[in-house]
Amino acid sequence: MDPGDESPLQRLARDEPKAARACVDAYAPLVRALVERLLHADVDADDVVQEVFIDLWKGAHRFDPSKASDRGFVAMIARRRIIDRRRKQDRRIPTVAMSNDRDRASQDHVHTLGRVEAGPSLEALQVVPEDRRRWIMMSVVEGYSHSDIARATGTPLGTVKSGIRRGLIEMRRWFERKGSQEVGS
Amino acid sequence: MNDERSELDALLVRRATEGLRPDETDRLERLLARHPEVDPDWADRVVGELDADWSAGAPAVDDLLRARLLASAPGGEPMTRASHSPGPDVPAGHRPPAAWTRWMGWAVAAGLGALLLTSGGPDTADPRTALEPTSTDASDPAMLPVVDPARPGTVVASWTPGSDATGADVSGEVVWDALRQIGLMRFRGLAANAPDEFQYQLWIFDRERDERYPVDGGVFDMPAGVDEVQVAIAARLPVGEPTLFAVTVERPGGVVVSDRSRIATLAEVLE
Repeated sequence: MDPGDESPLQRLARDEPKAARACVDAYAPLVRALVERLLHADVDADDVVQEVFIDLWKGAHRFDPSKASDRGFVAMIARRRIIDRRRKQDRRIPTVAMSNDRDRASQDHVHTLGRVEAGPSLEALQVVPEDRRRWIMMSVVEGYSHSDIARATGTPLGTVKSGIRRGLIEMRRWFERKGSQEVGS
Repeated sequence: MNDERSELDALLVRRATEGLRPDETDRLERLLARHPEVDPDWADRVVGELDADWSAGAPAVDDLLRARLLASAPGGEPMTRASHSPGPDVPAGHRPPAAWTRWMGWAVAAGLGALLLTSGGPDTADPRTALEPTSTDASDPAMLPVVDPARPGTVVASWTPGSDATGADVSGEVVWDALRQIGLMRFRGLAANAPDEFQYQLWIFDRERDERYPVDGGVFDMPAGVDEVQVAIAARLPVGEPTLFAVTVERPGGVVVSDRSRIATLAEVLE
């Protein structure tokens, strides 16, 4: 790999000088956006972002570009910390929907999906059946718990859980078929 | 064996999306030990890619946070006065708040909703003046954000009665600072509630979102025996361009999906 193609994360893992600064510039907006999206506004978001970066400083050496993109790896680290904080708070999962019309389910998240058009995730999502796609977006992007998704959509909880599981497996297979160049770039 | 693999994948997916209880974590660890062929991080990585794509284009963080992160790095850069001096947007005459105080208002808002109580007197406040916290009780005014309607990107909207009797006599306004993503609501005449019977829940309609999915602005109470309450807004998601603020009456703790059957008050953002 051309050194110029290395991500800030890879440079950090090699203890390269100034890699930390590059990581902060590259990934802090992503982490902050995730924290604000998934955590209730009563927490100090900056504190959580700092906790994520401390996890990142410790875990950067585990990054494998053949398995994930650098931003995907950082997001994974962030989400684990956010979920841990959320569970400690015992807070209700952030919610969005204000609709009592469950028949509109087929139209859900058309607007949402448009936000990820630039990323490989959308391509991966297209292989997932519509209902599962919607549940995945409600869970991952909107922060609904599986129970909340079941209630909001009028779907049995077991169906939601298995649907999200199968949908993520389908996305995984898509990434694997595309190979490490798609995921690790 | 197939049942165990299915259970294992189900636990990995739940861990990646919403986390596990301690007993589920124990079960996951036992299953992973029995199935070393399974990649324990596959679900986290798929979710991570989606998170990363969804967050593309997020704005840069402020200088203070940036300095904190650099200081926390191995061999990190020490924070200097210049690295964490307040930004140019701090209004003249205001003591620049440390970053933590900006979020303390949210910490209070998360529980009951931060309450500032005043008593007596007619409502003569100019809604265009900044909703500076005022209090006659033990609540600390510094616990609420200062939201200045004159600040660029700030909207002000006045409350009007909704269909529910709780809002029949309501007045006041809501101020929302889109740049800082903070807001303050002032209510007079909203009926007091017993939190174990019902609570008020704020919904923010955003021009940049489908109107079927307004942003949850948080749950709050109106205590009895006071004339006015100010409540910090605890929006659960970023709000781009609010068009309407609505307060509904919901069961204690709020709801995931409101049936909109009891709308206490509305505040429309006028063009």
